[in-house]
Formats: sequence, C-alpha cells, structure tokens
Amino acid sequence: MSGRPNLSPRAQKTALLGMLGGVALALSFLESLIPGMPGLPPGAKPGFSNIAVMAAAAHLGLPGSLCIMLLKAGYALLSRGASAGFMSLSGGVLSMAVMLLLLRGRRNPFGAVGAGILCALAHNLGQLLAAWALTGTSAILGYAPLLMLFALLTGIATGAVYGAVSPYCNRIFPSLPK
Amino acid sequence: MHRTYSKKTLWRALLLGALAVALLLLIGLDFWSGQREASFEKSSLAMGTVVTAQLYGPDGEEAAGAIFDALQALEQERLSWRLSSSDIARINAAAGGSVPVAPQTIGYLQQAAAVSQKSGGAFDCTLGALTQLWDIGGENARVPSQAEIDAALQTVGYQSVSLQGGQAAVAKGQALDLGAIGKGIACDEIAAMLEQSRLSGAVISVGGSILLWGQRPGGGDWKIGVRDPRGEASEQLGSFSLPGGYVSTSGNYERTLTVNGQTYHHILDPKTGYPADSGLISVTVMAPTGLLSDALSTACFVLGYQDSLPLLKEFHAEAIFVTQERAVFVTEGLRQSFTLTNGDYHLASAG
Amino acid sequence: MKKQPIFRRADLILVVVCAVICIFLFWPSGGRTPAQAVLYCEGEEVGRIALSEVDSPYTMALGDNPAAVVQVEPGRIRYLSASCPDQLCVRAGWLSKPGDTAACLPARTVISIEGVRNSGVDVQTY
Repeated sequence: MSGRPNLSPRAQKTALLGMLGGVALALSFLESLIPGMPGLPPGAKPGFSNIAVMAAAAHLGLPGSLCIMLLKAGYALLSRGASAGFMSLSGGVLSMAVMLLLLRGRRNPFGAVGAGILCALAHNLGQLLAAWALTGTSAILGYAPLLMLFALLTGIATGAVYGAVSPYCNRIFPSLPK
Repeated sequence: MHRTYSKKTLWRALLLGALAVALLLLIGLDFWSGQREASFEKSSLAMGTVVTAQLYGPDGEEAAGAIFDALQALEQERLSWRLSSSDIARINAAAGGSVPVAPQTIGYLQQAAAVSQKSGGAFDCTLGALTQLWDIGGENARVPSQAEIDAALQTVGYQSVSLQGGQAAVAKGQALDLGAIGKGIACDEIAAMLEQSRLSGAVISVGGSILLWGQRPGGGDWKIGVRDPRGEASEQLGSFSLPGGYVSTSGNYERTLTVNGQTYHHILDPKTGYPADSGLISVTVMAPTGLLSDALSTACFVLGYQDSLPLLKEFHAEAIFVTQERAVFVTEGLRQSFTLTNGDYHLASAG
Repeated sequence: MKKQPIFRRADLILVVVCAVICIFLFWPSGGRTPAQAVLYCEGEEVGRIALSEVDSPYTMALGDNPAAVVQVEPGRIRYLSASCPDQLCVRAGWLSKPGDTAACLPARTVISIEGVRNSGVDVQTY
C-alpha cells in the first residue's frame, strides 16, 4: 500500500497488541454497564470483548491472545472483584483455546460468524463452570440453556465484527500472520 | 499526497494511545463500575417489621450482618415494650419511680419530647396506655368504651416524663410508647454504623421508614416512591428525589381494625383518644433525622395539612400530604422533584 | 487460511443446530425469567418459586405458628389466609414485581419477589 509506513514485524505486532488491548478494555467496560443480566448467573457477561481475543489469536497467535485475555481478566479482577476475575479468566481461556484450535485446523469449515459462535459458546461454558466452582451448587447449571442462547446471539455479533475488522488488521499490519 | 512518519514515531504513538486509553479506563471507570457492581441486598424481619438493606461498596455482606445484629440489640436493650430487659419496658414497669437507662435512650426521649412539645401534643410518646387499650394490629384489638378511653387519656402527657442524671421516669400509670418512632430510631442508628463502614452508599427501609445514605451508584439523587394510600403496598402515588436523608410515611392503611363496618386505623389522636381524623390518608415526611421523620409524620397525620406547616418549618422538614379527597399537597422543598404518577390523585396548591 | 469469509455454509449449519438445541431446551420450561418468589421462615430461605413457570394455580402452607396459606398463580403469589390477628400479610395483596414483599410477622415468614428492579425508584416509603 502506498503511503503506509513500513514497520518492522515486531513493531507491527506490538502496535496491534496495544490496539487490541485497548479494544478489549473498552468493550469490557461497556459490558460492565449492562446491569446484572436477567436470568444469567451473577457475574456472567456477554463477552463482546471476545472480539479482541479472537483478533489477537488470529494475528498474534498464542502469546498475543494470552496477553489480551489476561488483561481482560485483570480488568475484571480490579473492577469487579476476585470472583469476576476468575469467571473472566475461565471464559477467556476456553474461548481462546477454541479460536486457536480453529485457526490451526487444516480444513476449518467455519467463517468468522461460526468462529464467533464457537468462541462465545466456549466463553459462556467457561463462565458457567467457574460459577459452578465458585458457588458449589449444581443448580447454577440450570442457566445453561439461556447461556447457550446468549452465546448464539453474541457469537453472531462478535463473529461478524471480527470478520469485518480482521481484513483491516491485515492491511495495516501486512507482515503479521493472516 | 501522504505524509510519512518514521516507523518509530508511529508505533510509539499507537502504543501510547492504546496505553492511555487502557489506563484511563482502568483508573476512572474501574472506580465507577466497581461501585455500581458491588452491591449487597438483604431483607429480613427485625424490630417487628420487614427491613431491607441495599448496600453499595465493599464489604456489603459484613455490613448487612452488623446492621441486623444492631437492630436486634436496639429492640432488646432499648425499645421493646414486650421484653422486660429493654430500657422502655423497665421505665414503664417502674412508672412512678426512676430507673437508670442508656444515654442513647435518654437522647431518643429528649428528641421525642421536643416534637411532642412543638406539636402541641399531637405526637405524644406517653400514649402507651391508650395504644394498649386499642391494641390495633395486636391480638386483643377492640373498640374500647368511652370510659376506658377517658381513663387511658388521663395517663397521657409528655410533660411528666423526667430525664435527669442518666435516669428516666414516667408518672404513675403512664406508659411510654415509642412504636411511632422506633423505625426512625433504627434508621438513625444504622446511619451512625454506615459512617464507620467502607460502603459508598446505602438504602435502608425499616418497615417503610427510609434512610438514604451516601452516594447513589450511577450518580444523581436517590429516587423514592410514595405508596398509593388506597392501593396495595407496591403501588405508587408518585415519586420524588433526594440527595440523602430520612423519609417516613404515616397512613391510615397500615394497621386497622374493622368492627361493624367501621374501620379504625392505628394512629391515635392524643386529644380525643380515637384514631386521628384530620382529613388525611397519608403523610410522607423528609426530615434531618430518622426519629424526626417518624415523629413528624405521625404528628402531621394527627394535625392535618394546615396545622402541620409551622411544625415542619420548625424542624426543617418537608412533607407530602394526601387527603381523603385524593388531593396531594407538597411543601416547597419537595415541589421541584415530586412527580405525581397516579392518575387517581390530583396535585393541589397550598391555599 | 488466507482469507476467512465472514459467513460460510458451515456457519449456517452451526446457527441452525444451536437454535434447534436452544428451542429444544426451552420448550418444556417455557424459558426462565427473573421473577422468583423467595419464601423465608424464621429468617431462613425455605423455598423459591419461579413464578413464570407456574402453569396452574395452587396453594401451600407456609410457617406453622400461626399457619398461613400461600396462593400461587402464574406470575404472582400472595398470602391467601393467615391465622394471625393483624392480617397484614393477606392485605399486602398479590406480589408480582421484583421488590414486592409481604410478611407475616407473628409467624416470622416473608415472601419476597427477587429479580431486577424496574419500577424506576430506588425504594418505596409506606
């Protein structure tokens, strides 16, 4: 692309990591504005900030996505306490793992929306398991159907945004993995 | 034409920008959303009524536990007139002589006496014999004979309460009844506890007497709903907002006794010995302390709209009056923020 | 993968499968909504009723000294009768909105609706 600065791959990586970190925090904050979602286990969040984790997994690989995920969990820990941090971490680890596995797969049949849904499912499953561990009551698993519905809806949204934004990451930072 | 930056400048700018955004979010908004998220709510029975505590900020659960413990202690050691261990029960048992009581109890009685005096006896903390006689809401509720009422009225008179040297005494035959102000006292005690806590804000309802304390999560003033006096408990007449303080409502719907089609409510007029009949069906008072808001709402209910105004002014209190004709009068301090939401009522101007 | 398209056929299949599972999971219970009636006796939680999942009215006993009868209908609950003198609990009427509370003080029982508050006020004075 003419006129674009020619950054070293390392610099591109760092810049994208910083940007995605900012996006993750901003989305985490926006999520925290949604007051206690009706019918969801306390502390569960839709996971819009998964967009940043997905992009990080795609363009930065394991180290980058791990950074973003920990940043998100750290933010939840600081702003909403230890149990929220734990839930964010649990959801984050699972959704990151799913995204990385999808990307490594030789024949990944899914598009961005499919990836979004699978990540959201993993994210909500992680949160549910964390809530189960925290409360020690299996009654919490009764939330599963609603969480699944939520994963479907937010997954479509996050997947579509990720799919729309991802090409621009490639354009701005051409030397990163695609 | 495109301007080109050196690589270094560009990636530094990007990184700094992202870092700045992250830091801003972390510092400013973590604080804000942290306050909003950390809330604890508990409802339980205490002091013979339903107490609800909504607590915002850290350590809500411990604070709630401490509050309910304190209410139990307040009931057992100070206010109850069933438990013989309480200050009030001991004063009543020793009527005619004096007993040493806690300084807090002296304080409540002094404040109660002040309202009794300024209201010309419309609120009277020595109504015990009369309230026991009617026992509205109790097991032996009945309509007493005129002779019984006259006899009970003989004992009523806040003037004969003496508070000296840590001792309290009432006249022979007289009985203290702090039932009308117990919930407000509870709000005052809780407010003192909240000052010692790490909480940022709290809404406490002790049977409908309300304490609004600290910062409302999300900012702005606390919004208080006023019950529709003719509707069910959850139905609303209107609402108003306050930055904090104490709110209490007296209404003729709270406890009643129906005999031969005639309904008697529990707010007795110390002048007549019968349920107060001032044309009001509810009064909501905002006052500087919980005890005052409770005492004044009772006094205003007995006095009626016009006669209440000087009393409210005296204690820097504001009120919302609802009359039998479904007219709603709001004093100046609340007029700005009060909104009537129930179409069955109409706002009336002070005339 | 060089270029990841936003939507592929596998995505459609995934959406449909998820939607079908959701519908299947929600079908029998009719979904979960926040309004739950919580029953307390002597300060302890003794029961929880998801009012939206009640499909036929019934009554039940709550507390024993004195006993009260609680009536449950789809979306609402109330004290139907109580052997206490003041009858405050019965006169509290139907409870349906989060925050609605009725209590029988002599029996030390409370029914409270939990869920998200949406009445627009922080607290109600009464």
